[in-house]
Amino acid sequence: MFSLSIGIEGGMQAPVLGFDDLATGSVIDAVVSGQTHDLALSMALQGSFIPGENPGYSFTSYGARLGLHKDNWRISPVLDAGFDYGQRKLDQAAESGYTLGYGLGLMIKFRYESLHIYPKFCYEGVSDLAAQGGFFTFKLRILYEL
Amino acid sequence: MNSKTRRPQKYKAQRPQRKDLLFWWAIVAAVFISCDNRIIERAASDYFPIETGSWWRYSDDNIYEPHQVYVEVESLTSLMNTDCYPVSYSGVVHYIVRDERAVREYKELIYDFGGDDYIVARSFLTRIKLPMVQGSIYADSMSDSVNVGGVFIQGKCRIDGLVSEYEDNSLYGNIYKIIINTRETIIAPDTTIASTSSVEEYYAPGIGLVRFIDDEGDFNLSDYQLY
Repeated sequence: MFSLSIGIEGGMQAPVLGFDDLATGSVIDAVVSGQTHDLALSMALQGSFIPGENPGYSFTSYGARLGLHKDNWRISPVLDAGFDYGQRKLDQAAESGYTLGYGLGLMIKFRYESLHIYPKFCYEGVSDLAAQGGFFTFKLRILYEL
Repeated sequence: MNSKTRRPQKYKAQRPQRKDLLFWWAIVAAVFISCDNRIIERAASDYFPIETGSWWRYSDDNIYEPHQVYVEVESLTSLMNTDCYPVSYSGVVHYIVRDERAVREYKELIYDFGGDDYIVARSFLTRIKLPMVQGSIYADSMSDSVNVGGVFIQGKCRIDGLVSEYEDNSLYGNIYKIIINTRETIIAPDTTIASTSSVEEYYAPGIGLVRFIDDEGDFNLSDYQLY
């Protein structure tokens, strides 16, 4: 049995590894998820904006993620990985580059007919293969089953 | 007959799989190669670690008369109601404040009149705007005056900075090059005293200043200890 869901996911990100000059930011995803009776594979297009402690500074990223979780469990571990384009900007100066992103956390599943709601708590890491940083993320995923 | 008919089918089934595998390996390799740009290193690292007790030693490239500069961070103190680190550059103390927006340095302009020193202007001026981002241009200045023996003496100081570029260094990772120009002017009714200085500084993640070029020479980090 296979079903397809679409929806959005949004929340907050706070730096926990590196990024001492960043404050708490926001993240939003557009999600497509395919579920069998026990496993869900999701694809998300993600955008995040994290302001700096210096008001002129910000870190923005856009990316794509593939995620996996057990859909028949109320509380399920969730894993995702993908590819981001990041830009750090201070006033008019900017630097950009591609990064690897990954996430590891827990999702809680609530279902009302065709609506699936998942509060999600996870650690989201980013790496350029030379160094890494990470954020604690809280997101709310809302999917509609087609 | 059966074996002859089966073999070609088997090979036909394998060829697309190998192509698919190669395609996906190429995608994965391209992703990894494009991610090797150290943007996270530059974003997540501290390029100006300053703690009491930390020290750095620099040597110039003069093989006949080598010079060394020893930089040490002393205990936190207070100046103009601001907590700052006295940083000794081979005995000459500079007062440095570091917060999330900038590294600022205490500057004072002194006018000598009749053997007495008068402070014409003083303030903490931005030396490096944080965080470092390539292309960042900034400036900070102060201006004040003081009455010395019935005559107004004016003082001005301006610091211009440019985070010119970052470059990949095999020893330190991505290092930022910063060009800092300082212009100090004291204007009296009968005279103007002006001085300018320029320094190129190179900062490495987690270490701080690893190289600087000024009027005295080209100094490279030879040893350091961080706390």
